[in-house]
Amino acid sequence: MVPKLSSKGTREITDEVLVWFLLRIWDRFQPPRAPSWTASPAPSDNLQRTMNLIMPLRRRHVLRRGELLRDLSEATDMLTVGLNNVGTVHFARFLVVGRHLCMISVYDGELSGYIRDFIGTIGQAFEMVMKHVKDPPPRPVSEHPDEFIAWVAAHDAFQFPDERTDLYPELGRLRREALLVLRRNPHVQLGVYRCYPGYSAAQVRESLEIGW
Amino acid sequence: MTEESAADLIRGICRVFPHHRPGTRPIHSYGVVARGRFQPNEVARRLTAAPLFMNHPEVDVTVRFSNGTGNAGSSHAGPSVQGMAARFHSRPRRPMPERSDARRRAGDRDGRDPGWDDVTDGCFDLVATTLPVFYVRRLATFRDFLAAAEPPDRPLRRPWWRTPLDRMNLRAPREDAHPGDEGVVAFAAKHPEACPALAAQFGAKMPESFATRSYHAAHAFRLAHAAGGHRHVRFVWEPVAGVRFTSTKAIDLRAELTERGRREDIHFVLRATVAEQGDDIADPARPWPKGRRRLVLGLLTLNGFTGDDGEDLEFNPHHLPNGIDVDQRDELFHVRNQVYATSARWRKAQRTSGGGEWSRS
Repeated sequence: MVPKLSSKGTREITDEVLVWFLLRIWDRFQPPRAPSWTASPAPSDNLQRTMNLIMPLRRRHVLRRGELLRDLSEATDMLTVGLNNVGTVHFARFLVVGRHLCMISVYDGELSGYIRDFIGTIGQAFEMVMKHVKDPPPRPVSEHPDEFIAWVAAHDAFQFPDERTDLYPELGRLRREALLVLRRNPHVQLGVYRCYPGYSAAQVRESLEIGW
Repeated sequence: MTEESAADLIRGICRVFPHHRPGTRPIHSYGVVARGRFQPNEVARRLTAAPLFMNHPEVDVTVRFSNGTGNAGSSHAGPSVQGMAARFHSRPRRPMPERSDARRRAGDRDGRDPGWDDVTDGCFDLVATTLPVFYVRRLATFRDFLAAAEPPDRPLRRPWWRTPLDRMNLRAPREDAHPGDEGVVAFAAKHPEACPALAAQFGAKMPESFATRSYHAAHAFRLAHAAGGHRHVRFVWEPVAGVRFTSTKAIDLRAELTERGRREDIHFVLRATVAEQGDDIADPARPWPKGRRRLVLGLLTLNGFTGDDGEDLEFNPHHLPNGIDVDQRDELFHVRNQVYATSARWRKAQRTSGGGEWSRS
């Protein structure tokens, strides 16, 4: 028996269908602006940047996820020493969310420099992880750094700007622009909280006197 | 700015609010006063050499919370902007030994030191609102904004085609649009610098209390520190009770705060966001990136609530102590000096003699 929809439910479904059609049309004729990242003279603009790497799993069976867990556990020492040596990472963690393996991190500097540091220090750990990922980058990653950086950029979740109006500087168009971006990007970062904004990992270590 | 220009600006603001009552502030006209003390911490003393913070473990503070419009209604209807004007007094308040009818007639509202509120030498008036930034940078643009925000003489009927056109354009519907909003949105299309402030205004919800909002002083203040040198910061008051909203459509925030204040002390933390290279310190309409360093400067405790509306209190952002000032290129900050002073003079004339500019405007 088909459950009867409330009038609110009917309205919501009607809106969703309408918006689905409208977004296809708007995306064709007025696609969303691509974000433009410009170098900034302000030090804190290059600190505590976020990376949300969303990697589709090749196979999600529990046995394969068990193998992933085993491989990451065996790589713990490699990852810890490697990230310590990089020195610019505040936090990094691996998650399995649904059909994806995610690496979420907060780092200082810019993305390509961060990835190159990664390749140099924990490239082997990434090799162990990549065999679980669908459509991985060319391997070994240490021999294909540019391709790996491009692959990471393509799998990094879209980051909405902290100021909504940075997405598009016109109030009347802001919602449409946001919906178009959400349509193009299944994975998005909606916002970030920073407990101590504007400080690098090095400054935190120095102020806590924990050495490096 | 001349007195006449200030008068023009005040009249322009009043025209935006058709229910404005002469004798009240042209904006932030509905308010309630709270008194308490601010305790600066070591971070504040390192950040600024202002004697106000350096020389006192605690500073007496008078705060006036207010609505963000010029409609001095008895209840605060609908979600909108709120204001928080705080005076850090340059000298402590002396409690009087007894309270008498004579003192009350002399204007001593709660038995302490009449005239103390009017001592402005060395005090610091920090005027803040729930908007993170202001609408515009320039005075000329602000006049255009006021003209755009004036409600039409007759309420315009929304054309029948506007709603389906907005849906086709995927524009967000607004349930509580006010007269004048159409003009403001059209203004924002030509002045994108107004978008951050307007996005915050249009997204405002009904607060649970004056005590559960954060308040931003949009201008950048230059703080000189004892070691020489200076930094530019923007201040924000953050409620210790947290930012909270209510689904109630209209609420008497004055009564709510007075009642809340009788039950418990109300606390705010004063934070300063520090500017970095490339941040515009003269444009109150431009947000600074959220990744800027934030410092906690101290704790405000409010525990004196009488329900007084504070209409006779004369805040002025130009009341700045030694060691704190604002860049000369911040045009609107320096315009506010004359505007606030003129408005205060008109209000006083209205209160004392029932005449003055309000009766002519």
